[in-house]
Amino acid sequence: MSERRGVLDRAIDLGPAAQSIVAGVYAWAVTVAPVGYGRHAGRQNWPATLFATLAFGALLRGAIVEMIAPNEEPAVHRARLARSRTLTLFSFSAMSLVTWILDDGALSPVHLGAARGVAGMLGWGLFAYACSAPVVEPVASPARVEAGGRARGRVRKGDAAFVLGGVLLAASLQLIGWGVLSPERAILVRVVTLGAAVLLLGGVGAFVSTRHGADAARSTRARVKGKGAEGRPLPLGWVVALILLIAAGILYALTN
Amino acid sequence: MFRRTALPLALLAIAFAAFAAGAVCIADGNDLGGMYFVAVALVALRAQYRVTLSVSP
Repeated sequence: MSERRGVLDRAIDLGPAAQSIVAGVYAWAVTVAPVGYGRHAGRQNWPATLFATLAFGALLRGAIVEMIAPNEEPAVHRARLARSRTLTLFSFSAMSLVTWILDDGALSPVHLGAARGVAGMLGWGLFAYACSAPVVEPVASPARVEAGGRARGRVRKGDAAFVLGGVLLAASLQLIGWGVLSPERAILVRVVTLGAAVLLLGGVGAFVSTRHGADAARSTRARVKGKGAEGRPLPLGWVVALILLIAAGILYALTN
Repeated sequence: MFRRTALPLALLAIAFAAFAAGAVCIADGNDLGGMYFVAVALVALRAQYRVTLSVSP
């Protein structure tokens, strides 16, 4: 087997390091190349063309540095790559900025459509994210074998019926409010019904999980007390509050 | 049976009915009624949670 590795092999080996380069090429193709190479007002803007080419060259230089095989200490190589990536970020951004300044008319809505504008924002956002996020380098360590997950409990008879009932109730809430004409109020109704559905499903989940004594769902205070279910008094505070609230509502409705 | 199943389910039913009434009120433009019923539903859910935990075996 030949020791010499092709350009394609090295490009594939770039892996995560190529993320910023690919995002940069995309941003360049959408927002810089049309400005630098396009003919606006019937003439070619050669300084803009030059700086657009330099911007692409900055990306190309960064890719070449990533592809060069290391022949130095790993720590030195990592430091050199970090410096190169910083240089790529600033040189590419600066050249693109100069390109736009030299031909600012190309960025006007006449030449730059909405779709390309959105695509450009997406491209530069991806480039910024790929540059700011740390590159995940492959770690040459043996795979770690872990035991599979263990079930904390078993689904018992009747649980499925409770969960199904809760899902049906939550879904039935979504039938309310589809005839509202005002968009703001329609959105408010949807937010309320969706939140209510999530809360209802949470209540059903807590009921089902504690029905058979799943200890994880109990509060720390209840576990510390350690009393049995029959010996514990019912926490009637919230129930009393509920009764008072309903009574207050009825009283208000009767008096108004 | 009552403490473990019927009471939490009754509170859940109250919460569901209150949520539905609140959503209908909000859809009809009755913000005060909507807020009241949503508050009733939230209190009912909290009561159901506390009761459910207390009766857990």
